[in-house]
This record gives sequence, C-alpha cells and structure tokens, in this order.
Amino acid sequence: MKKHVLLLLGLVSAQLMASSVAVDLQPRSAVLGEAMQLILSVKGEVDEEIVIPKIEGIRIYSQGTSTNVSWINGSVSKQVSYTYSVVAERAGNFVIPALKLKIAGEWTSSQPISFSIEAPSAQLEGSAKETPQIFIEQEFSNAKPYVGEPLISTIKIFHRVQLADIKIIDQDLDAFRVLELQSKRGRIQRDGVNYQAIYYEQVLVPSHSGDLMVKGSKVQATIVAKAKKRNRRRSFFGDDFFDGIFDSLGQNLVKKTLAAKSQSLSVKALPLSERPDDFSGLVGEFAVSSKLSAHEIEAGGTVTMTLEFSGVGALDSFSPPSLNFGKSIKVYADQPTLEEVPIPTLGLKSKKLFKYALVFPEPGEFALAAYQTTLFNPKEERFVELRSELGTIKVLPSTEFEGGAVQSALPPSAPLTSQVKQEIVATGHDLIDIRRTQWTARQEIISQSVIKRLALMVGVALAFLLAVLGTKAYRPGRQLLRGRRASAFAGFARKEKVLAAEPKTLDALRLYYGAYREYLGEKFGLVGSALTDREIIAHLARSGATEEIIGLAQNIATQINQMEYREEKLAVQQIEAALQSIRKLVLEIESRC
Amino acid sequence: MLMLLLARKTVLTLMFTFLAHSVTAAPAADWEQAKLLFDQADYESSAQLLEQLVAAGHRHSAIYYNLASAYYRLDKKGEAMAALLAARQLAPRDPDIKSNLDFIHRQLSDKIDLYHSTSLFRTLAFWLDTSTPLQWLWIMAILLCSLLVVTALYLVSARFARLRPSLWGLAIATLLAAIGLATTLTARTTWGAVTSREAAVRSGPHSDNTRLFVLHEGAPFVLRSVQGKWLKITLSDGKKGWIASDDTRIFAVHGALSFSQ
Repeated sequence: MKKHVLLLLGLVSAQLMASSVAVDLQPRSAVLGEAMQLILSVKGEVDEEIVIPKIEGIRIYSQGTSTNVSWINGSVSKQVSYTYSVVAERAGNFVIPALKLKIAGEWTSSQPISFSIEAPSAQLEGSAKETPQIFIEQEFSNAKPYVGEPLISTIKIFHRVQLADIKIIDQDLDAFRVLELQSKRGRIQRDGVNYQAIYYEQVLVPSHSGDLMVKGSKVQATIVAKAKKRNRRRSFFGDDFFDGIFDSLGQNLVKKTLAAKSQSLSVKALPLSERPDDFSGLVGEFAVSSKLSAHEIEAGGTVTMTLEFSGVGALDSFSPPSLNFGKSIKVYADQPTLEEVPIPTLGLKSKKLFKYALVFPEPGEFALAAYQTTLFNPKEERFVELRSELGTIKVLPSTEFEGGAVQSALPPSAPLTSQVKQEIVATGHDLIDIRRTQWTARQEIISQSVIKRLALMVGVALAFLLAVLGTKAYRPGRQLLRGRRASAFAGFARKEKVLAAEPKTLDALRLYYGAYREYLGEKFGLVGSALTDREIIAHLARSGATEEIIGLAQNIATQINQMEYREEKLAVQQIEAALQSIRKLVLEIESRC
Repeated sequence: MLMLLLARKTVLTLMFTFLAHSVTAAPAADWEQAKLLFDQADYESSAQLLEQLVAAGHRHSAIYYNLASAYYRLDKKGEAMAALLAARQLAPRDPDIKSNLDFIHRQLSDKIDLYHSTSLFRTLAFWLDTSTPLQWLWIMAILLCSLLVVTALYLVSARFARLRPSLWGLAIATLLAAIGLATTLTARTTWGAVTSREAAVRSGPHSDNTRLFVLHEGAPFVLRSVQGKWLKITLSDGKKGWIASDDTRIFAVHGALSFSQ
C-alpha cells in the first residue's frame, strides 16, 4: 500500500536552496514499532518556527536541537540540527513531504523523503518476547593506545521500543580529552531479533599512561509505550492542538538508565630508550610544510613564515617550535591556529598553523636553516623525523634609511594578529610639571568676595520672589474667591431647577431654604457651611448689604420659622410666596454684592 | 557746570580703573615671573615670589602646586609636602597634585598615610575628601536661587503649576547641599609637614615632656591646636603629640595661624 501525504507548507512558490536545508532519515526502512531518526539541518537563522506536518500513520516527536557555529576565514556560519524521532503506527510506504522554511527572510524547501515500514514477522515477534527490549554496549577501538594517540569510544544502544530523550549521563573519562562525533543510527540483528541501534561515538585522547579501569558509560532514555489506541478518525476536539495533548496523554513514558560494562584500557607510555633529543612531543602521523610570504625584501622589512603541521592525531598541546636564526634575524611568533576534525574511521584529523614574523634589519642573503623535529608514530611504534626546508631570503638595502642599514627594527604589526603586550617600565621619576596657566585672582576658599557675589545672586532671586509676592499675592486668593462665589450661585441655581419640578410642599421649601443658606455661606467665603438666620443677618450687615436686603433676609427668616410652626395649615400659595421671596433675595444679593 | 561735572566723573572713573588694574597686575606679574624663574632653574627666587603671593592672601591651588615644585627642586621635601597638602585642600580631585604628593610621599622615610584614617563619620560623609566648602557653597547658592526663582514663577501664574514637583526637588537638593557645606566646614582640617631632618613629638607642649616618637622630613600631620610655639598634631594612624613649630611647615589655607612662620 502506498500513500503519499502531501504537505502543504508551500511547495509551490518556494525557491529551492539545497545548501540551506538538508533532511536525513535513518534508517529508511524499519519494522513496525521501531523508531527512526529524522535530522533537519538548517544553515542560517530560521525566522519562523519549524512545523512538521501531520502525516497519517506516522508520529513525529522532537528530540531537541543542536547548534554548530563555525568561523572560517573571518566569516561566521551557523548550522542548527533539529532531531526528531519518527515512529510508524502501521506498515506501508510513507513520504515526509518537503518542509518549507523561512531562512534569513527567504523561503526555502527541503527535499521530500520516502521510507517504508514492514510488519514484524510472527517468528521474530515470538522470540522477541524473551529477549531484552533495550540494552547498551561500549567498545573502544584500541585497548592499548599510546599516550596522546586518539582512539574511538562507541556507545551502542540497542532497542526494540520507541525511545525519546536519550542522553549520556555519566562517563568516566577524566584521563582523556574528549571530542564528540555525530551519532549514527542503524539496524542490527542479535540472537535472531531485530534491533534498532544508536551509535554515540567519541574520540578520546589519553592524557597520561597507565592501566585504566574505565567505568561503563551510563545512558538515560525514556521508553515511549502506547497505552491505548484512540480513534483518530473522530477527534473529540476537532483541533490538532488539543488532540496532540491528549495523544501524548495516552502514552506511558518510562525513564530508564542503562549502564555499559566497565573495561580496562592500558595506555602505553612512549618508549624512553629511542627517544631523540629533538622529540617534539607529537604522537600520530603528521607532515610538516613551510611557506614564506616573500623571498626578497628591503632591510627592515618583514617576512611571514608559516609552518603547517597536519595529519592524524592530536595537535592541541603541541607548542610552537622555537626558531632561532641568530642575531641578524628577529623572530616574533603569532598565536597558532588549530583545526580538529573528529573522523569515525581515523579518529582525529588535525591541522595547526604557526606563523612567525621575521624581521631582517641588515641587507644580505639569508639561507634559513631547515626546520627539523621528530614525532612518535604509534602505528609503526617508532620515532619518525619531520623536516621542512625553509628557503632563502634576499634582503636588499633599505631605500628609506641612509647607508642602507636600519638602526633599530621595530616589531612588525601588520602580519601579526596579536602581539605580546609589554609592561610599561619606568625609565625616570620626577614631579609633574608646574602649572603654566595665566594668573587668576579667583580664590579657592570662601572669601569675602565669594560671599558678596553669592549674596548678590541670592538677593536678586529673593528680590524677584518678593516682587512677585508683592504684586500678585492677593490675586490668586481674589480669583479663588470670585470663582467660589460664582460657583455658589451656580449651585443654588442647580438646586432651584431641581426643586421647581417638585410639588410645593414644606419639605421642598426646607430644601430650598437650605440651598439658600449654603449659597450665602459660600458667598461669604465659608466653604461647606450653611449659615443660621442670625449669622446670615450678621454677615450681610458686615459685608455692606443695603438695609432693604437685610430687611428682606429677616422677613424670609421669620416667614420660614412661622411656616415650620404651623405646619399643617400651609397652603401651596404660601409656600410659593416664600420661595419667591428667597429667589428675589438671592438675585438681589447676586446683583449688588 | 554740567561739563565740569562730566569731566570730573570721567577722571574719577579713569583713576579707579588704573588703580584697580595696578592692584591686580602685581600678583599676575609675580606669577609670570615665578614661572620664568622656575624655568631658568632659579628655584629659590621662584619660591620666594610664590611665598609672597601666599603671604598676600592669594589662595589658589596652582600657587601651592608650583611652590611645592620649587621647594622640591631645592631639596626641601618638608616644605614641598606642606605646599602640596595645602594645594590638595583647595583642589582635592586634582590628579597632578595627587601624583606629585604620591611621588614625594614615596621618598619619605616615615610610613604615614596621606589621608585621614577611616571613621564611621568619614565613611558616611564620603564627599569630604573630594570636595571643598567653597564648592558646596556654590552648589547651595545656585540651588537656593533656583528654588526662589521657581517659587516665584509658581506663584505668578497657574501655567507654572507643573513646577510643583520641581519645587520639592529643589528644596531637598538645597537642604542636602547645606548638609554638604556644613559637614565640609566642620570636618575642615589643616595639614602640615615636618621640615627638619628629625623632629621629636612629645606628650606636651614643652621640651621637658616625654618624647613619644620621632618624625622625619616630609612626614604629614593634621594640626589640631596651637599653643605658643608648640603644635598639637595627629597622624593619620591616630598617633597624637606635640611638636615644635620650628620643625614644621603649615600653609593655613583656611585662615591665619596664631604663630608666625
């Protein structure tokens, strides 16, 4: 049965950039229940989250990402690897469609990948029940390496169940320098049972000799077991997000820690008897080559010499060879550069460059002595000589200096990327020179002149403030009072408007009288107070109100008091008259005061 | 009549200008002459002119700084140290003064620190060694003026109502400046240095008093009080005693001392 699942992340208009995205699936064929590993390698920055399409009959779980940043010839490149575990739910042929990604603002697509899933045979299924579902082994490519000789350690994880979150949690590798290799996947048959296999490889460089008991590495993995098969045709939520959550809830996740057997390694020391005096300490198969940036220069000029060591083995601890060409040539060493590439079959391939700036102060012809050293070849188990001719340099008289000789050669700066910094050495001790400024009569103490100046300054500011206070002091208060009075009448007017709609009862009259008293309180600057009858008369008299107004106010007070006294016998007309009297008084006050 | 008055006024103005110029020109000439003499390696005369400026009441760190250089060239480390300590009191953050002080200090035989011993007060008032009362006075005056002006503006119109937070800020800043001024005035000290090759420090202001310890040329000290020809001093490590004023040199930058030097 063959089913193609087409996805949709834009196969249409995307421009293919094969160099930016690469997809690999290992293995391409598996037995039902076995997990496969999908690795999506992306060069550059992914702008949007990667979405793996849903494929019917296939489950894809993310296992994490790894980032590799490299700096080659001054340019930085970044590669991110997204690892997924792919598990089929049924046998058949499948296709993972092209994935559309947005990298650095441009859309690009991966190649589609097809794979097949076979149904397990009945015989194997039967035997499989008695064999372990998961186990690990560890093996070393060389049980008796020389010190400094790289060997490969392989941790093999065999499993018949679906695994997730596989990680190495404990390793006894203190006696080694460790370089990681990329893990591999495959299939293997053990005791007639098919297993999936994951190989974690590491390059180990022994740092000292002796018999070592290396404890077996420990690996932690999560076994994913399906608890109950759900009917996927009828989704309860009808939504991929919630379905995904409940799909994961339907699984049993069991964490398991596996340990490999401990093994003994015998790291051999380099033979002492045949060791030559010029032994460089290198262990491996290396070649050396040299290069000069120029063969003819002027006196005082610089030549860059490059010594390149490359081959199989470790070069990390190899220190720069000290070169001495006599007093007539000055040598300045640059920082070495090292490239190491772990390779599964070879172990470790290394290249180290040593650069030297050679300065020739005097003219002449200089034949540089050949560079010679020895290394130890562990395969041949003997010391081998390394040699490289350095060449001849012709130094012409300088055109810049009279007599053609350079008095002192300065360390070159151009060819070196970093120079050795020197301590500043004091060559003399003395006081800092005297002050040579012009005379200033300014004192640096609190003198009388300073006090006078400051007093003047503060006095001016104070005068300004006083002037403001003198001219403006009462204005804000006056404005405030005026505003308050205006608002008092506005408040009275508002209440009057409300009461106009009310029936003309004694209660309405009381409210109206209250508003009148509050109005007067506000008018006389007594915020929030309702004046009594006596206070009203007193304040009116004090504020210069006319006798007519005062008389009117007294009448109103008397009228209201009488009405309060004979409450039941009040007629609407009487209340209306009282209200009119109050209104008249307020308007009178408002117009005259 | 009017012409006569105008002529009189002009003559008076010119006279005043001339007098004012002659008063300020003298120290300026001395200053230039002192620099010239120093360059001609006549350090004695240079120091003499600079001492005259000091005696005339000019208090500027540059005078003390140059005076110290002249004294150092005359191999008078004590006087040089005293002049530099005075210069430091006037310009405590000056890097040249600090450099020269350290330079001379390294040549002294007594191991005495150039700064006050740390106390709780000096730790809290961290600005004491880096600022002068004059600087604080200026800061306070400027803040006070700003406060007054902003207050006036605030009262002038409701448009300046937004200045209200600034008023509070200025008031607090003025208060802090006043505290800074008060502390620097309170903690103001007078430094001096030993000029003799060797000077005894005694328990009292008399040569019969017990000899507590001996200071050597250039040793810095803080003057506490004066009694006749004897000075009560404190070293930066807290040691106290009385030393004969003839063995010392003090430039009292903040006021005259009661003994003549």
